[in-house]
Amino acid sequence: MESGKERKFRSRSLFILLSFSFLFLFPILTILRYQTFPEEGLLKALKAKFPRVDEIYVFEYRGSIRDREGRELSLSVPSVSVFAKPAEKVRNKRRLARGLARLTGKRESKILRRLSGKGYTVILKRVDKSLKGELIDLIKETQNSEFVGLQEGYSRLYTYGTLASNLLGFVGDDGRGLEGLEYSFDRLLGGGVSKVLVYKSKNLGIISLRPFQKKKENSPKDVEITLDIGVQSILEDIRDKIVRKWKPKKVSIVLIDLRRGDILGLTTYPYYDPNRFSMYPASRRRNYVATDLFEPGSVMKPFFIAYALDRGRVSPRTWVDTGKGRMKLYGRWVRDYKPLGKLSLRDVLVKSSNIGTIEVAKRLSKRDVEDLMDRFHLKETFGVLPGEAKPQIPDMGYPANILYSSIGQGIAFNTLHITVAFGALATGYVVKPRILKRIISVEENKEESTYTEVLRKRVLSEDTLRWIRRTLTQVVERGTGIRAKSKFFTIAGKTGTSQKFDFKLGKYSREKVVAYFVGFFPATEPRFVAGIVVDEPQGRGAYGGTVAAPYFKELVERTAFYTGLKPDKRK
Amino acid sequence: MRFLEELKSLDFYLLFLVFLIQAFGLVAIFSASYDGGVSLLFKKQLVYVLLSWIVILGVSYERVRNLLDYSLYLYLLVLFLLILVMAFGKEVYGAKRWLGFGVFNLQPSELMKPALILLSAHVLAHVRSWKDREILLLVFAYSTAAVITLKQPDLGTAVSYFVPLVAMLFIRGVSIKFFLVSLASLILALPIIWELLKEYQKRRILAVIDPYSDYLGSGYQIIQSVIAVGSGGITGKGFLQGTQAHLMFLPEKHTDFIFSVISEEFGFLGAGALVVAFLLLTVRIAVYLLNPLSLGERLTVVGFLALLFFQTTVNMLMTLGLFPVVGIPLPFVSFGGSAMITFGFIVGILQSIHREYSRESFSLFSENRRT
Repeated sequence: MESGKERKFRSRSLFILLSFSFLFLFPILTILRYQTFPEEGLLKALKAKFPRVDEIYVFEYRGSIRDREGRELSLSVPSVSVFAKPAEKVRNKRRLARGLARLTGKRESKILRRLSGKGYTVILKRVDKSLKGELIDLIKETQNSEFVGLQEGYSRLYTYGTLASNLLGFVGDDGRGLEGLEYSFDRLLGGGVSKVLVYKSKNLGIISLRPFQKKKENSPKDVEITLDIGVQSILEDIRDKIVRKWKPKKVSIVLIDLRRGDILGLTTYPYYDPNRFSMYPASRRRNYVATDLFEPGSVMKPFFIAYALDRGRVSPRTWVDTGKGRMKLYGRWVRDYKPLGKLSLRDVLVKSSNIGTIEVAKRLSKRDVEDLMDRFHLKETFGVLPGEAKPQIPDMGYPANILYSSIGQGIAFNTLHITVAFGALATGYVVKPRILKRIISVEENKEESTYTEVLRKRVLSEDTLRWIRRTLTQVVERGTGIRAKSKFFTIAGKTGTSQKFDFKLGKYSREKVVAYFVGFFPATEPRFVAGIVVDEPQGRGAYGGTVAAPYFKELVERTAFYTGLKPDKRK
Repeated sequence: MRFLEELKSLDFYLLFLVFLIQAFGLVAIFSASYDGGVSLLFKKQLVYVLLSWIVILGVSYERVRNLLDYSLYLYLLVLFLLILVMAFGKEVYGAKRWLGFGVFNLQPSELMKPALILLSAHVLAHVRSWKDREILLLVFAYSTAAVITLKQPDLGTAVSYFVPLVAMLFIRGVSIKFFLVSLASLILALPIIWELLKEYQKRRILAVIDPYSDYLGSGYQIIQSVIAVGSGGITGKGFLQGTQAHLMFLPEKHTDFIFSVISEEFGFLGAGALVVAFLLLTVRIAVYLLNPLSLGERLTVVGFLALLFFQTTVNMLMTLGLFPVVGIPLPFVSFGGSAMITFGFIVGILQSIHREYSRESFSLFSENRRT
């Protein structure tokens, strides 16, 4: 028999055992909670529990972008920013603002306006780091040690201001590339902000609570691009001349070295100053050479004619009757700029006859045109610049689309795309354009160069190539592109004037055009291909032959002399 | 031959758990003190572990009855050592807790824990009422030990003297009312006592509650420990891979915060396994109570159980930031010779109890051999 005492002992022992076992659950559950917490959650919990724990931002160095000669286009310079936390508690605001204005040269009223904000407020950004000592003195002097702080970091400096701005892009306040090459090379360049968990000790200042985690692959690298500041300056000068004379909506110019595909110059209008990127609307910061599609108009003609010739659908001796210079094509009138009568195949291009080209294109099937698009790598983008717009190619199952495409209507490419393809008319190769030249890792003392990639080989036979080169040279020597004719260099190219489709009127506009000139030089031994596209030039007589061709000549002569080419024309 | 026969009657289940937990501790200390090779700390701890096994086996031959009978002398001996500390003790981090013996520092306050448990078990088994003189002896024994320990200062150890006593009184059959009344009066008395204290005394007590507060400011320890635990994940960072422990971010990692090293490097699975091992150990010791023990033995088992449980959970909760940092080491795991030998002594006594009942075949244990 169990006594009452014994029962009591048993029940109490059981109670102790159960409560002990139960209490063991606490550590287990807590570990599980901590260890399965996402990192952010743990930090939050820590911050909530310990007011001395805080996160601070540490800005990391970002590599520079340089041109092909190693000249720095964009680089990170140490800087400090001044912030108030909170702004409403800042003392002696007037004196502080005056001091800051004196040190940095910024306007006092502007600083004062910022100081009247609330909570965490950034007062000044991108202040030269050499002023740090004086800034600290000023903060102490105005008794603001608790409310005004300095954040060290880097600010991005674009040494050449607006030069190549729409290509380079810019870096946001968080140190990450937001647009352009800064964006596409962001991982290589590194930089950015790391959050560091710190403990604010009374006596020892700020102590990092964890080892600073820096990943090896993120070590900042300098990036050398294929751009040449000299060529770029020439292109930008020419751009400015076009803008002054024709007041267009947009301009895009690109120049590529045919041997390696190097983009030596690339410029746009509008452009902006990446040092003050936030003052410009996003629409001005795009790289129009890549992001915007234009109908190529007559620039499309040489592709169709060369292809038809290559496939034997026409011969150099073929004569084409262009009639009275107008024809009705699937319900729309197509005209030549004047009646041209019977034309040799060569003169169809030299005189840029729409009707002649359509007559040739009639001999091409759907399969032919698709093959043509594929041969010149016109179906897909290159993926070398951020935001490259995909080409718009109509369904070639409809004969009307083939014919309209041959005169560059209803089909659209970005400037880079059409220029690269045009290069294949010069060399027979489609070379992938190259912007990234070299990656230089200072920390690891390593360099890595990129290679040229050939996308399509021998797109035309040697005979066809020779014929098209000569024909395109004639375009400049005696045809629509005569204003591009140079005394020193042979130039082969094609003008284009494509009427813009007016969605309000539901038809092609008379006033709004895109003027083109795309060509390569020297025509006898092609080295460079370039394209000038002017969107909506203002004024009378705005055609590819007037708006783009004369500037192309200037472009050729200046870059040719700059790069040391010898004139290939006899005097 | 008799020695071997005797060995067979040991509780291998319990000993295995102890061994497992000690092994955990050795691995963690190896990692926590790793400096590119085997550290002196690790070698020392290895010696302590071996010593603890000698103590376990040695004590297991002694009859509990005798130990209980001599408990007063044992207490007096430890008390003497504790007083010696006051006079000649070594000071580390502003606390005077150790008696230096060349290579080995003895911490008598650790030994005081089992001494008090044995004394209480002995006294509580014999008293018939509250008015017995022995109760007075117990009050004197506890208050003397506690005051001296608090003077060192060492609040954690002082508190851990009393926890087993509460459990033992509970098992002894003291009415629930008594516990409730004492708890209530303690809660009511605390603010009054606090107000009576002088400013410097308050500060001193606060410093005792958080012994690291002077070092880096309150909380640094716990924050580091929580980060270490949190960064372990399910499977941990791997042996010797913990960044918090190895890069000197976590102070005192080999003693009171050894558990966060384990959590960081072996993750939830490792830390969970250790917690489960402690849980099994607790249950295993509790199962001893199913034997027809004498009252003194019962109280001894419960006292040890409570001490082990208290130190284990408080240390873990402290590491996890759920309890003030009071400087209580994790039994069998934290670095330290005195604690290792103390708990070896405790395990030895438990073995002695186990041996007695398994030999006399009164046992209700299924796995015990018949004689």
